[in-house]
Amino acid sequence: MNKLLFLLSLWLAKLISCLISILHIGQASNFPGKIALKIKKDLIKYFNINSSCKIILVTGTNGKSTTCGLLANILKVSGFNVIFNKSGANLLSGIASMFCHHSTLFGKLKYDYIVLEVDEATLPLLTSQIKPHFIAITNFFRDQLDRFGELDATVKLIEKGIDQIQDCTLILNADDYRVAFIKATSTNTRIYYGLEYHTSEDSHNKEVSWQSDPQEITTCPKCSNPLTFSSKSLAHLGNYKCNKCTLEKPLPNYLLTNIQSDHLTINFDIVSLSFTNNKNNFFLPMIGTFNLYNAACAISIAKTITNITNVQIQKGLQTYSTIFGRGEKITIHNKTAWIYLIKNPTGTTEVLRTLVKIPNARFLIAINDNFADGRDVSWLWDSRFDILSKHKKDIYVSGKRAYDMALRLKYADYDINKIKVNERIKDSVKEAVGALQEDEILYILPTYTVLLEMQRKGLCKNVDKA
Amino acid sequence: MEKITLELAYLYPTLLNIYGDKGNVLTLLYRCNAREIVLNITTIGLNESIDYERFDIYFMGGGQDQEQIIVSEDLQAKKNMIKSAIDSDAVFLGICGGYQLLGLYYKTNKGLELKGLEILDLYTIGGTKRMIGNVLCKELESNETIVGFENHSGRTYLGSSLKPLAKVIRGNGNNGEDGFEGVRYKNVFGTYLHGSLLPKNHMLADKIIKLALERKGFKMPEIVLDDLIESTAHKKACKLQY
Repeated sequence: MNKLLFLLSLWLAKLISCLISILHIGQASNFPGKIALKIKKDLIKYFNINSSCKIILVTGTNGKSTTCGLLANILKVSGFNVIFNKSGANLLSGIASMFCHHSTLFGKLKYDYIVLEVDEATLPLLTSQIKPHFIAITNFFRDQLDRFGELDATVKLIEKGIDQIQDCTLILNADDYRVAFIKATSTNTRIYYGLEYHTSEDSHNKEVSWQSDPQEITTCPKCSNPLTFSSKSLAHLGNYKCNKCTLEKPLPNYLLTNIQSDHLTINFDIVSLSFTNNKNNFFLPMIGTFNLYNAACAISIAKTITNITNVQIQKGLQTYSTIFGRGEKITIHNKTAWIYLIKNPTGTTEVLRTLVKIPNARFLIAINDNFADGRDVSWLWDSRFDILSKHKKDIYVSGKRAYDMALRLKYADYDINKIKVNERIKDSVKEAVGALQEDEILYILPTYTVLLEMQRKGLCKNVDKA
Repeated sequence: MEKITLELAYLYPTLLNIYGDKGNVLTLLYRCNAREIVLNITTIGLNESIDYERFDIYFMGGGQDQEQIIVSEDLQAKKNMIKSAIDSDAVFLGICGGYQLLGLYYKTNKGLELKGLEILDLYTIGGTKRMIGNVLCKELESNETIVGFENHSGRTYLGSSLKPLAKVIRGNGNNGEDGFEGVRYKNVFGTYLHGSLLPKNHMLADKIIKLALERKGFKMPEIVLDDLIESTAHKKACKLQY
């Protein structure tokens, strides 16, 4: 009976997926799975995955999509047969859609690796149905508190998800103490990655304390006393220890050092016993410390799961075409624009800090407050939009909460005459692109559902694959 | 002519800053500057004392339970100072945790009792269900609309001597039962509304500035501000569903 219901739901999902693609009514990344789950709510359990296939889950607040994209690309260029959930479809419906899409008519999935980015709250729901071999956790920042309640609750959800499985290797960001000290039974092997950053805390936060970067509270996970930091790479990530008890940052198995970046790329070395060479130099064709963390996570996973060469890793990094909205290059009316998804204070602050350094950059910021964006827009006030206060050009503002965004810029001392509000994204993009000078590049910073809308309206159809 | 100066004490900016709380301080700063009033902001953290005679406005935001536990303990040493400030008509804006801790106690849903400042006759009981959504209410004093976003599991109950800040039109407010939101006492404003509160409710921001000025014997400067963006954001927020 179970098997029959499973097959029915699978076939229905496949049919819906076909229809969506024939009728060109958007991507079939969530809807088919959503319907299939209505028929068989534990559908994912029934897929017949070949025994040699390794399942890798990536969760955490920021960087899930990019980490999965980089990892899948590294594995693909190394000749493996890999599937992963694209477009941030990281809830059960998205994962079910992807399984249905890639399986045979009888639910068989035959791959070397299945890489899944998993929403924090979805992790326990997923690990009760399939057994992953590896779980990577990127970081914990406040995000969508209207959904999760509090950050502590998010961490507990992940711990619950890990608790349901044994003999799983955890790949953890050593620089984020909440991640590094996540509770798990001792049967789980722990692999750590981290960055060696020499910028001191002070140089990052010169400003008045209350106006500084969005910070998470950093208290020792063992004794609850405040942690001290000898350096920070971004927000609360860095070298920490507790002065009261013995807790300190775990020694990373993969340490990124000699980090050097320009407008377009980041160069770095990896120090690790897993590499045979002493010096392992790589470059990442992306910008921002947040992307370096994503690369660090992806490389650590790749090295942990299979014996991969430096050349394969570099090739994977180099040929990676950025995924949906995470630094995606598009062409609109023959002009170039880049899309950077924004969704929470730290991610937004890092994107702004990175982009503001680019000469001839112009900005369009579009904020929606649908469920997937977070219905509460208070995160705009924790994001450092004051980074843009010295920007000389007009800033275009759009989305359902365009006026809240405009107000945020106004109170960041941005000249109100240079804030151009148009709630309709299509019109706003048109205006912004129309105003671009020959040598200028538009940076579009949308929240998730604005991005989906842009795609639906054909605004980012011309994805530049180059 | 020398500029008028107001002093603001920003309590626990790093511990209590969960929902864009600093947006409220940014708003006061912007709207003071626009009227050529100097607003000095002093942060006050753990183990730091308060010179209550110095400050005209106090602001305290919200945090998670763990941070609120730390703050609750620390506040006991500041209690007399804050009480003296409020008694001498200093303006106090407390949001979420900052509101709850003005009262007698906050009993979390794990049964832990956090001691409040015991300045206002109100108490809070942690519930199992979080009240999350867009709120629309009407300020009792002015009958003007106030908009914001609530996200709390604590249910706050006011003693009979206290007046609420507003009547809820849409949303839960203090406890989801009596239809009222926040507290209003002397020059104290307590509320569950963040999102941030003051940018979208610029009338309330101006009221806070005006009260702080009047307490010092100054009048609000008659400078008309361009509030088109503020009032549009406010009007749009009035239409948001819970």
